Amino acid sequence: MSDPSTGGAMGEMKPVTLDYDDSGLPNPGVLSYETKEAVCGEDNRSRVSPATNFPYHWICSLRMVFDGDLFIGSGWLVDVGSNKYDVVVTSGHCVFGGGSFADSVEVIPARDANEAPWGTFTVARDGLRASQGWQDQGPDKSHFDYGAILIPKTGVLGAMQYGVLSDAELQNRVVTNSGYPGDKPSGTLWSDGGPLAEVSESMIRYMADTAGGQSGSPTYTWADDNILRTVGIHGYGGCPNGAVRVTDAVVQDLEAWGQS
Amino acid sequence: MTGESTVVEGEIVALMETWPLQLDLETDGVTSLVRLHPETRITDGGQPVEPHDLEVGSTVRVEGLLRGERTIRANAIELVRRP
Repeated sequence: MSDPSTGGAMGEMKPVTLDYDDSGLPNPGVLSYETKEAVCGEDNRSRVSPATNFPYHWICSLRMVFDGDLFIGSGWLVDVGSNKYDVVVTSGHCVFGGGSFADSVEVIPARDANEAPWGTFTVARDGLRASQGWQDQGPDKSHFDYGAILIPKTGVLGAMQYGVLSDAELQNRVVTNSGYPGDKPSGTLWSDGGPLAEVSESMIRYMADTAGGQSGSPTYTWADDNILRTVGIHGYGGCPNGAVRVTDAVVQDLEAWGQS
Repeated sequence: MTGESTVVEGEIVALMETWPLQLDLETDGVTSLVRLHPETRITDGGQPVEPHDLEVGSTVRVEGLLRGERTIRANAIELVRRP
């Protein structure tokens, strides 16, 4: 199903130095980002380097190919009890759009610029999943904007915990988002935190700064049980920014995909 | 008609944070997916602006190529009206 062709072979998990810098994408050095669609006021993001410490080693840089065009995004390893796959959660629009799945997605866990400490994994279409609501592309599709990338189980990558928190538990909560934006040096991980601004049945919105490339990244918080839990799958720019809320329905899909 | 040139004007109703960005553009109740690429020209009054100038609620005119089901690969985006 998957061809780990661009880096360390699965099972070996060798560190890899990447020989690309996502060239062909806009050079972040020539762009100014004092105010942008997803940075609310001053840009407060800070770089995480190296990315091999908790919880960043579970966050993945993604390189998606749609119709021959390269896009970058983010994802995160989740524990849904699968013995078959390491499941990488991301936005639906990172794996499916325009009526079809991406040609392929390359997953680089814990990437830090050109360093890929766990190697890279290239997954073809048959290893990509998107929610039915996202594939249906109905008027409320953004509420279903989540998907996954299935990597045959390595046994060493580990996974982030998720949290299905109630409205009451989410109220006034500060969340953090960490992902791989395209407006910073290639392949670097950036984080910012901020308060939740809105909570609805299937979406959360917050004032943490993000940019293009961070779609699919985890929005997480220290839950009341003192476990760091992802509560949102970031996908949308604006002030506030938006994520699909982690709900029972999302978890059921992830569990089913992990067993598929 | 994949590959055909098209020009569409509409309102940005969602801004998906891949890089380059992807936009949902609504025109007369129909939503199209607009995918930017590294050479997409973005202008406001004919002057170049940056991708971050695209906002939900903006009206834009998109020139590009049709790519499958209601999908446009944008070569040029002109900001017609900001929110």
